Amino acid sequence: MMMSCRAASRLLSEQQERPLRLGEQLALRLHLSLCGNCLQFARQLTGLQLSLRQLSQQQLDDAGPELSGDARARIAQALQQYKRR
Amino acid sequence: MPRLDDPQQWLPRHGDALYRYALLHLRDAALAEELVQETLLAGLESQHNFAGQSSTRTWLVAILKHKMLDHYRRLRREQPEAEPDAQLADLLDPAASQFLPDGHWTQPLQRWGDPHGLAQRQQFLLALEECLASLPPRLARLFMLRTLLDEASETLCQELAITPTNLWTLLYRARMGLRRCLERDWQQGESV
Repeated sequence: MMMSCRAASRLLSEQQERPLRLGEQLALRLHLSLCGNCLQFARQLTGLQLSLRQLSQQQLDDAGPELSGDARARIAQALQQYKRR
Repeated sequence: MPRLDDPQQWLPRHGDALYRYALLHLRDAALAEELVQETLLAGLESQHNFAGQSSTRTWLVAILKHKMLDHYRRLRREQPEAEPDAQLADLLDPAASQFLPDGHWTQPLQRWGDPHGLAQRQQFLLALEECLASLPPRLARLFMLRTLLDEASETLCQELAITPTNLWTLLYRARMGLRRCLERDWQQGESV
Protein backbone atom coordinates (compact mmCIF):
# COMPACT_ATOMS: atom_id res chain seq x y z
CA MET A 1 0.00 0.00 0.00
CA MET A 2 1.28 3.45 -0.79
CA MET A 3 2.37 5.77 1.98
CA SER A 4 -0.20 8.48 2.82
CA CYS A 5 0.44 12.17 2.13
CA ARG A 6 0.41 12.79 5.84
CA ALA A 7 3.15 10.24 6.45
CA ALA A 8 5.11 11.55 3.48
CA SER A 9 4.96 15.13 4.79
CA ARG A 10 6.25 13.98 8.14
CA LEU A 11 9.17 12.18 6.51
CA LEU A 12 9.98 15.22 4.39
CA SER A 13 10.20 17.29 7.56
CA GLU A 14 12.27 14.66 9.37
CA GLN A 15 14.61 14.46 6.44
CA GLN A 16 15.91 17.84 7.58
CA GLU A 17 16.65 16.34 11.01
CA ARG A 18 17.97 12.85 10.43
CA PRO A 19 19.07 10.58 7.60
CA LEU A 20 16.08 8.52 6.46
CA ARG A 21 16.36 4.74 6.44
CA LEU A 22 16.61 3.06 3.08
CA GLY A 23 13.03 1.76 3.23
CA GLU A 24 11.74 5.23 4.09
CA GLN A 25 13.72 6.79 1.26
CA LEU A 26 12.33 4.36 -1.29
CA ALA A 27 8.74 4.70 -0.10
CA LEU A 28 9.04 8.49 -0.08
CA ARG A 29 10.57 8.58 -3.55
CA LEU A 30 7.78 6.40 -4.89
CA HIS A 31 5.17 8.63 -3.29
CA LEU A 32 6.73 11.81 -4.67
CA SER A 33 6.87 10.36 -8.15
CA LEU A 34 3.09 10.00 -8.08
CA CYS A 35 1.90 12.88 -5.90
CA GLY A 36 2.08 16.47 -7.12
CA ASN A 37 0.90 17.93 -3.82
CA CYS A 38 3.66 16.30 -1.79
CA LEU A 39 6.21 17.31 -4.40
CA GLN A 40 4.96 20.87 -3.95
CA PHE A 41 5.22 20.47 -0.18
CA ALA A 42 8.84 19.34 -0.53
CA ARG A 43 9.57 22.53 -2.49
CA GLN A 44 7.76 24.63 0.10
CA LEU A 45 9.91 23.11 2.85
CA THR A 46 13.10 23.86 0.96
CA GLY A 47 11.91 27.41 0.31
CA LEU A 48 11.05 27.81 3.98
CA GLN A 49 14.48 26.64 5.07
CA LEU A 50 16.34 28.90 2.62
CA SER A 51 14.15 31.86 3.53
CA LEU A 52 14.71 31.43 7.25
CA ARG A 53 18.45 31.40 6.69
CA GLN A 54 18.17 34.51 4.54
CA LEU A 55 15.98 36.25 7.12
CA SER A 56 18.49 35.46 9.84
CA GLN A 57 21.35 36.73 7.72
CA GLN A 58 19.52 39.94 6.90
CA GLN A 59 19.33 40.91 10.54
CA LEU A 60 23.07 41.37 10.38
CA ASP A 61 22.82 43.92 7.59
CA ASP A 62 22.26 47.44 8.66
CA ALA A 63 18.54 48.04 8.64
CA GLY A 64 15.64 47.32 10.97
CA PRO A 65 14.99 47.67 14.69
CA GLU A 66 17.77 49.18 16.78
CA LEU A 67 18.76 49.20 20.42
CA SER A 68 16.90 51.87 22.34
CA GLY A 69 18.91 54.77 23.76
CA ASP A 70 18.33 53.46 27.26
CA ALA A 71 19.55 49.99 26.44
CA ARG A 72 22.57 51.38 24.64
CA ALA A 73 23.51 53.52 27.65
CA ARG A 74 23.03 50.61 30.02
CA ILE A 75 25.21 48.31 27.96
CA ALA A 76 27.90 50.98 27.53
CA GLN A 77 27.98 51.39 31.29
CA ALA A 78 28.30 47.64 31.88
CA LEU A 79 31.20 47.52 29.45
CA GLN A 80 32.88 50.44 31.22
CA GLN A 81 32.53 48.73 34.56
CA TYR A 82 34.03 45.59 33.18
CA LYS A 83 37.12 47.47 31.99
CA ARG A 84 37.65 49.06 35.37
CA ARG A 85 37.65 45.73 37.12
CA MET B 1 44.26 37.75 8.75
CA PRO B 2 41.29 39.62 10.19
CA ARG B 3 41.81 41.41 13.46
CA LEU B 4 39.19 42.33 16.00
CA ASP B 5 37.83 45.87 15.97
CA ASP B 6 38.74 47.98 18.96
CA PRO B 7 36.32 46.85 21.73
CA GLN B 8 35.30 50.51 22.15
CA GLN B 9 33.71 50.20 18.71
CA TRP B 10 31.81 46.97 19.30
CA LEU B 11 28.65 48.52 20.67
CA PRO B 12 28.35 51.33 18.07
CA ARG B 13 29.33 49.12 15.13
CA HIS B 14 27.71 45.79 15.95
CA GLY B 15 25.26 46.43 18.79
CA ASP B 16 22.20 46.93 16.56
CA ALA B 17 22.97 43.95 14.33
CA LEU B 18 23.37 41.69 17.36
CA TYR B 19 20.15 43.07 18.79
CA ARG B 20 18.17 42.41 15.61
CA TYR B 21 19.56 38.92 15.38
CA ALA B 22 18.62 38.15 18.98
CA LEU B 23 15.21 39.74 18.55
CA LEU B 24 14.35 37.64 15.52
CA HIS B 25 15.18 34.49 17.40
CA LEU B 26 13.90 35.31 20.87
CA ARG B 27 10.99 37.64 20.06
CA ASP B 28 11.55 39.53 23.32
CA ALA B 29 13.14 43.00 23.29
CA ALA B 30 14.26 43.11 26.93
CA LEU B 31 15.81 39.69 26.69
CA ALA B 32 17.51 40.55 23.41
CA GLU B 33 19.07 43.64 25.02
CA GLU B 34 20.27 41.58 27.94
CA LEU B 35 21.90 39.01 25.69
CA VAL B 36 23.62 41.70 23.62
CA GLN B 37 25.18 42.93 26.83
CA GLU B 38 26.20 39.43 27.91
CA THR B 39 27.66 38.83 24.48
CA LEU B 40 29.80 41.95 24.51
CA LEU B 41 31.03 41.22 28.02
CA ALA B 42 31.88 37.65 27.08
CA GLY B 43 33.69 39.06 24.05
CA LEU B 44 35.82 41.31 26.23
CA GLU B 45 36.65 38.38 28.39
CA SER B 46 37.66 36.08 25.58
CA GLN B 47 39.11 38.47 23.00
CA HIS B 48 42.57 36.96 23.43
CA ASN B 49 41.12 33.66 22.12
CA PHE B 50 40.10 35.23 18.82
CA ALA B 51 41.56 32.97 16.15
CA GLY B 52 41.53 35.56 13.37
CA GLN B 53 39.39 33.41 11.15
CA SER B 54 36.35 35.64 10.89
CA SER B 55 35.21 39.22 11.05
CA THR B 56 34.50 40.82 14.41
CA ARG B 57 30.79 40.68 13.71
CA THR B 58 30.77 37.01 12.81
CA TRP B 59 32.77 36.28 15.92
CA LEU B 60 30.36 38.21 18.12
CA VAL B 61 27.36 36.50 16.51
CA ALA B 62 28.88 33.12 17.34
CA ILE B 63 29.12 34.19 20.97
CA LEU B 64 25.54 35.43 20.85
CA LYS B 65 24.33 32.05 19.55
CA HIS B 66 25.93 30.35 22.53
CA LYS B 67 24.30 32.85 24.86
CA MET B 68 20.88 32.18 23.33
CA LEU B 69 21.32 28.46 23.75
CA ASP B 70 22.50 29.00 27.34
CA HIS B 71 19.42 31.03 28.00
CA TYR B 72 17.13 28.34 26.65
CA ARG B 73 18.87 25.72 28.78
CA ARG B 74 18.59 27.88 31.88
CA LEU B 75 14.92 28.45 31.23
CA ARG B 76 14.27 24.73 31.03
CA ARG B 77 16.11 24.14 34.27
CA GLU B 78 14.29 26.87 36.11
CA GLN B 79 10.76 26.26 34.91
CA PRO B 80 10.63 22.67 33.77
CA GLU B 81 6.90 22.35 34.28
CA ALA B 82 5.81 25.53 32.55
CA GLU B 83 4.46 24.45 29.18
CA PRO B 84 6.01 21.00 29.00
CA ASP B 85 6.88 20.14 25.44
CA ALA B 86 4.79 16.99 25.33
CA GLN B 87 1.75 18.97 26.40
CA LEU B 88 2.52 21.66 23.91
CA ALA B 89 2.76 19.01 21.24
CA ASP B 90 -0.67 17.68 22.12
CA LEU B 91 -2.31 21.06 22.25
CA LEU B 92 -1.66 22.30 18.80
CA ASP B 93 -1.36 20.18 15.76
CA PRO B 94 -1.59 22.36 12.66
CA ALA B 95 -1.09 19.21 10.62
CA ALA B 96 -4.39 17.73 11.75
CA SER B 97 -6.57 20.20 9.86
CA GLN B 98 -4.49 19.92 6.70
CA PHE B 99 -5.23 16.26 6.10
CA LEU B 100 -8.37 14.23 5.55
CA PRO B 101 -8.89 11.18 7.75
CA ASP B 102 -7.53 9.01 4.94
CA GLY B 103 -4.23 10.94 4.99
CA HIS B 104 -4.71 13.01 1.83
CA TRP B 105 -4.22 16.80 1.79
CA THR B 106 -7.51 18.64 2.33
CA GLN B 107 -6.60 21.25 -0.29
CA PRO B 108 -4.27 21.35 -3.26
CA LEU B 109 -0.96 22.97 -2.32
CA GLN B 110 0.01 26.31 -3.82
CA ARG B 111 3.06 26.70 -5.98
CA TRP B 112 5.49 29.02 -4.25
CA GLY B 113 7.93 29.07 -7.13
CA ASP B 114 11.62 28.30 -7.12
CA PRO B 115 12.85 27.86 -3.50
CA HIS B 116 16.03 29.88 -4.09
CA GLY B 117 14.14 32.71 -5.73
CA LEU B 118 11.64 32.68 -2.89
CA ALA B 119 14.33 33.38 -0.30
CA GLN B 120 15.25 36.55 -2.21
CA ARG B 121 11.74 38.00 -2.25
CA GLN B 122 11.32 40.60 0.47
CA GLN B 123 7.55 40.24 0.40
CA PHE B 124 7.80 36.58 1.17
CA LEU B 125 10.31 37.17 3.96
CA LEU B 126 8.00 39.76 5.49
CA ALA B 127 5.09 37.34 5.41
CA LEU B 128 7.34 34.69 6.93
CA GLU B 129 8.25 37.01 9.80
CA GLU B 130 4.59 37.67 10.47
CA CYS B 131 3.78 33.98 10.34
CA LEU B 132 6.59 33.23 12.78
CA ALA B 133 5.05 35.74 15.15
CA SER B 134 1.71 33.96 14.88
CA LEU B 135 3.11 30.62 16.08
CA PRO B 136 2.97 29.95 19.83
CA PRO B 137 6.08 31.81 21.14
CA ARG B 138 7.71 28.75 22.58
CA LEU B 139 7.30 26.79 19.37
CA ALA B 140 8.66 29.71 17.36
CA ARG B 141 11.71 29.98 19.61
CA LEU B 142 12.44 26.29 19.39
CA PHE B 143 12.09 26.40 15.64
CA MET B 144 14.40 29.41 15.28
CA LEU B 145 16.92 27.79 17.60
CA ARG B 146 16.97 24.82 15.28
CA THR B 147 17.45 27.13 12.31
CA LEU B 148 20.31 29.08 13.76
CA LEU B 149 22.30 26.10 14.92
CA ASP B 150 24.04 24.34 12.12
CA GLU B 151 24.56 21.33 14.32
CA ALA B 152 22.60 18.14 13.84
CA SER B 153 19.33 18.12 15.72
CA GLU B 154 20.66 15.33 17.93
CA THR B 155 23.06 17.80 19.49
CA LEU B 156 20.18 20.15 20.11
CA CYS B 157 18.24 17.34 21.82
CA GLN B 158 21.06 16.74 24.24
CA GLU B 159 21.41 20.42 24.98
CA LEU B 160 17.71 20.84 25.58
CA ALA B 161 17.09 17.51 27.28
CA ILE B 162 14.28 16.65 24.88
CA THR B 163 13.83 13.36 23.07
CA PRO B 164 14.49 13.38 19.32
CA THR B 165 10.97 12.16 18.60
CA ASN B 166 9.52 15.04 20.59
CA LEU B 167 11.74 17.56 18.89
CA TRP B 168 10.91 16.23 15.42
CA THR B 169 7.21 16.36 16.19
CA LEU B 170 7.47 19.96 17.33
CA LEU B 171 9.54 21.00 14.32
CA TYR B 172 7.08 19.26 12.01
CA ARG B 173 4.22 21.14 13.61
CA ALA B 174 6.06 24.43 13.35
CA ARG B 175 6.70 23.83 9.64
CA MET B 176 3.10 22.80 9.01
CA GLY B 177 1.87 25.86 10.91
CA LEU B 178 4.10 28.20 8.93
CA ARG B 179 3.11 26.57 5.67
CA ARG B 180 -0.57 27.04 6.34
CA CYS B 181 -0.08 30.61 7.48
CA LEU B 182 1.98 31.47 4.41
CA GLU B 183 -0.56 30.00 2.03
CA ARG B 184 -3.12 32.24 3.62
CA ASP B 185 -1.04 35.42 3.78
CA TRP B 186 1.17 35.16 0.79
CA GLN B 187 -0.44 34.62 -2.56
CA GLN B 188 2.21 35.66 -5.02
CA GLY B 189 3.28 32.13 -5.84
CA GLU B 190 0.90 31.57 -8.73
CA SER B 191 2.21 34.53 -10.66
CA VAL B 192 5.77 33.16 -10.86
